[in-house]
Amino acid sequence: MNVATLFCFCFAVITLASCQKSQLLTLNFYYWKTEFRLETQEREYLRQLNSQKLYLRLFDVDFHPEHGAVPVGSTQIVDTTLPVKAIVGVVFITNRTMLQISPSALDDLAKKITKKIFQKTEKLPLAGIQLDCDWTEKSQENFFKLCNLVKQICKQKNLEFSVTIRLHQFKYFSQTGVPPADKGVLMLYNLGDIDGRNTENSILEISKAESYLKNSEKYPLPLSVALPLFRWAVVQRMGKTVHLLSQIEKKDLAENPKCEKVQKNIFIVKENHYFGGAYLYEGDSLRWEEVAPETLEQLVSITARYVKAQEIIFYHLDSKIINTFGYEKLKNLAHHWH
Amino acid sequence: MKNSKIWLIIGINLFALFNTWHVESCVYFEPDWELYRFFSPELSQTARFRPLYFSFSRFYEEEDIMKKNQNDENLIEWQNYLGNQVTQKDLELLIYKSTQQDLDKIRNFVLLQKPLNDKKWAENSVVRFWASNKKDAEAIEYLIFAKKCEKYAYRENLWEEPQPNATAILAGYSKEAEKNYQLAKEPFFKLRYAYQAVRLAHYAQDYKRAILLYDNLVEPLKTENIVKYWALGHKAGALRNLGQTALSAYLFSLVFEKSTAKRISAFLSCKVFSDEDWKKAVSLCRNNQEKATLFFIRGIHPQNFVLPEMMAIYSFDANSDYLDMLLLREINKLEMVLMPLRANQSGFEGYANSDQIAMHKVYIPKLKNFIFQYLQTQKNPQKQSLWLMALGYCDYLLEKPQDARKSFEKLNKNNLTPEGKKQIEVFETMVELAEMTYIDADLEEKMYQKVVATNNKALKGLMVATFERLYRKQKENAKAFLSYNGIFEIKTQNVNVDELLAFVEKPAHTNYEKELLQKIDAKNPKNVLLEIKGTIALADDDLNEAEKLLKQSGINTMLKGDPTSEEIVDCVHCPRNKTYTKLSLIAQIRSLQAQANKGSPAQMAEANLKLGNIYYNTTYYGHCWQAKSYFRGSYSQRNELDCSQARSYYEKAAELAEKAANRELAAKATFLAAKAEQNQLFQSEEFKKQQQEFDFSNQLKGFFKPEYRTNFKNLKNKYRGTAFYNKIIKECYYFNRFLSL
Repeated sequence: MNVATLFCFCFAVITLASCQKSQLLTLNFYYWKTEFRLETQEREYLRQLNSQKLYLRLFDVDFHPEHGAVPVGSTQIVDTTLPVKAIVGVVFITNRTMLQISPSALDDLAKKITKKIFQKTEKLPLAGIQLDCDWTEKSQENFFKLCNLVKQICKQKNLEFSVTIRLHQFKYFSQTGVPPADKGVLMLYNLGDIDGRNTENSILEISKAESYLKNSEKYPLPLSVALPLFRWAVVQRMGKTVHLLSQIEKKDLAENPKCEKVQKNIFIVKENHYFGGAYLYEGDSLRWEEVAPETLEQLVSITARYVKAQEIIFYHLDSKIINTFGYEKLKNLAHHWH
Repeated sequence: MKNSKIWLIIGINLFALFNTWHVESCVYFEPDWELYRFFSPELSQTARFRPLYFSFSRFYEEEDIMKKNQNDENLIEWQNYLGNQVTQKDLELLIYKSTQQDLDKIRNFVLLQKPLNDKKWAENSVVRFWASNKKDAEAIEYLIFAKKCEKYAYRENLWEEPQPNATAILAGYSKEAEKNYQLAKEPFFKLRYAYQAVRLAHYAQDYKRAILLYDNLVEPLKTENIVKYWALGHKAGALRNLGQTALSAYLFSLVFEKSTAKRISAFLSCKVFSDEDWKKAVSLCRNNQEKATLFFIRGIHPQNFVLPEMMAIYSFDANSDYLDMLLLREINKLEMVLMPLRANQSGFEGYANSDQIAMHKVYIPKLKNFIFQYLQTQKNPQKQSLWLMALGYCDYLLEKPQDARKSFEKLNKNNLTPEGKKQIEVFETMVELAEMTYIDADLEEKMYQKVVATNNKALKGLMVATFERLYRKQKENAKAFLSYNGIFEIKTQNVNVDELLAFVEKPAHTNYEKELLQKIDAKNPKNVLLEIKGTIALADDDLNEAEKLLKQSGINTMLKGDPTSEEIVDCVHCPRNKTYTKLSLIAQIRSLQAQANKGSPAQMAEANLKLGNIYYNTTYYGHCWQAKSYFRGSYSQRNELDCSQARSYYEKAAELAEKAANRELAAKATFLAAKAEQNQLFQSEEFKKQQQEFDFSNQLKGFFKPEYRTNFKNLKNKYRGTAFYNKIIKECYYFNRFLSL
């Protein structure tokens, strides 16, 4: 922090961490697949958890050298009958888009993003828009401008505008700034260094999460928290992460005869072969990463001490991964805020 | 979107390219440092794979160049069809830039002899050719048909959602293309209608029909025309959508090999997910060349290991051009990991950590073994040269320059291409640099001239790194410092300016030294250094030395703002008029110092207050910080954060004002002393630690530590009721807060 900014003998507000308790906490999900078609079990989870909203990823925005900001990976909407009252259209924007786009193009981008969202959700009960971007100090100005523009459009349409907040943005908001939004979603995952030599689980390290959460000033936006249900195998080659295998189970890895378990969650490839959609080479290392239900509970218990949350959003609704977490276990997480 | 309309006619599925682009892009990265590439991929004799040379970007070539390749492939076909009677420019205009209305007008002009009334088209050599030589109704009707499909087949605006009925319309056009195929007489258009039928069915997501159309319309034509492979790409895409991965991958590999236009999209689409599919795809290959293509595609995926794929290709065809390409890519990947460390100053992290570097060094001997094996069987002198150079460079990367030299000496330089000659010159210079154990003016000049002659930026970086290392070792600090640093570092770091001055004042300079001098100042480096030295003396409060040096430098920079004035709320960036120079400021300090020690207590109090202001305002916290430093912020290494002198003058001013019974002035001076005192708090180790740890829980306690609040305390206890006091409790949050503790 610039020491001088602290000094200025003008009015500044010092607020300390708040531990207020929430009353009503809803349990919702992100939906992050490229085809929106709810499976029976996924519908059942939404019903059992009395979910009110589904945060549906609609497309990403990336920067193309010639075409500028372009939508990519658009989700095809197949289902329009939902077991929830509302959906929130989520758009992931790459940081390089925010770094490279000219500020004068932001107005146009805001219009394009919202227009595309409205077109894609024509037959869905759209209640809000969420922008997801891992913005940095250099891209902050552009991203905040974009947020302002999208927020204005949302206001006209009576939609809630929210943004995702990474833990470092939460902790250091007085330095990084607070995006202009109606609400923030605090993402409690992807905390570790995925390439790190000593990383055990890049999805979640409780101690790391706590170090970000504790002693933080009260975040100036109402917050929801996003919790990880996903798991993957991180494939490292010559010390660099080259694949994330999210379509496999730990059992598949343990039973793979071409992989040898060398540590608790570390496997070494013994022979070149295709696995989980990727081609693996002899010597590659695979690190299995997941969040066990009890770890999730521990995370929630710590988070509830420091963050007054409005809702929990689970990342993400996929019948292949939610099985690990029974309805009751997920429902019980909400009790930490009561 | 300058070239957006081309895609329909040439048949590139741009949208598919975009989709995969995003997915693929995650394996690339955008480093903020330069790629040190010493082994030129241009050495490859296979320029057809140019976009796939190793690069930090998605592809080696810019996308617009790739698009141009795609245009060209189509234009060549049309040129041939028109018997090379038209210009490519006119053809391009007609195919890619015309509208539906333009084509209608051209049709009416050529076929019905109606007036054209459009100079642009009347002068177009294709239109003239049709009007005078061949009234080619079939060609014009085909272009009109293609243009009609365009808005449904290709979304010009990627932000737009597909039209709700687009699928049905595309399916209808596919059927129309099939009908036109039956009616077409010229094989050229028969094939193109067949292609359109397949493609439009693919876009309409009628995958089974797309496959059927390819088999029934394209295949029977028994042509090897490139358009067949465009259509084959769509069949492969349709198969992929139907889950027939192995056949799809195999067909994409054929398209990859045959079509420049489709090469990149075929590469991005050729995906295999299981051993079973891979084996099946390989078993579909009709010969070793086709098998080699599949392994090559796997090898050029940036995250894949190249060596196993190279060994497989070698077993199919020891002379395959694919091997050269993969070798170059692999070497470029290795140097990306290993060279930045050598071509940069120590402490530079580059791309890889020490574990990764060690792993790459273990890998290189394995690659070398394969290169040895290859060289034993390869007889082509061009290929031999390339692989021998790679072998030498592997040794260089393993830090064995002598072994590298041996490989380079085996090269028959007479057989080298101009590009190869340039390359070996670079390698030999690298080895020479690596073997240097000392440096003097002659050696420096010799190497400098050699490196400059190669016009190779990476090599220049390596030379500078080598010189820096040797000069540092030989304790020639000025040259070592300037090798990596310039005026910014001189102004912001604790540099020995005297050493730099001695270097500048040398009677003669080598060419490299002249470059170093430019880094200080292009015109008068000595004066710039004198000014910097004078400013340092001013910051150290050595007024005599500062005055002497600043005068010698002849540089008298104007300062912004009046350093003698105080501010309740600091505003460093507020606009100010220029008032003082560094020299006139020194004169003012001297004058105030004289007044501060003689005269009435009131006069002395005023002078002390002004001196306090000068010593405050010329610190980091004041608006006149440029008097003593060049860059405000974390770069600073000097004492511009220190407010102790300012505080001392303010406290003296308060004391004298008290004596002069001027309580208002005393209150003000006490408050200003409190500001300076607070800055001392900010500089305390304890406070900095608290900041680093973001320990906000103790913020208030840490902020109001009594030992740093003596002047707040004095203000509270002694000056309550003064007008200044009443004003300040409204304006100063911290004082207000202090009072409530």
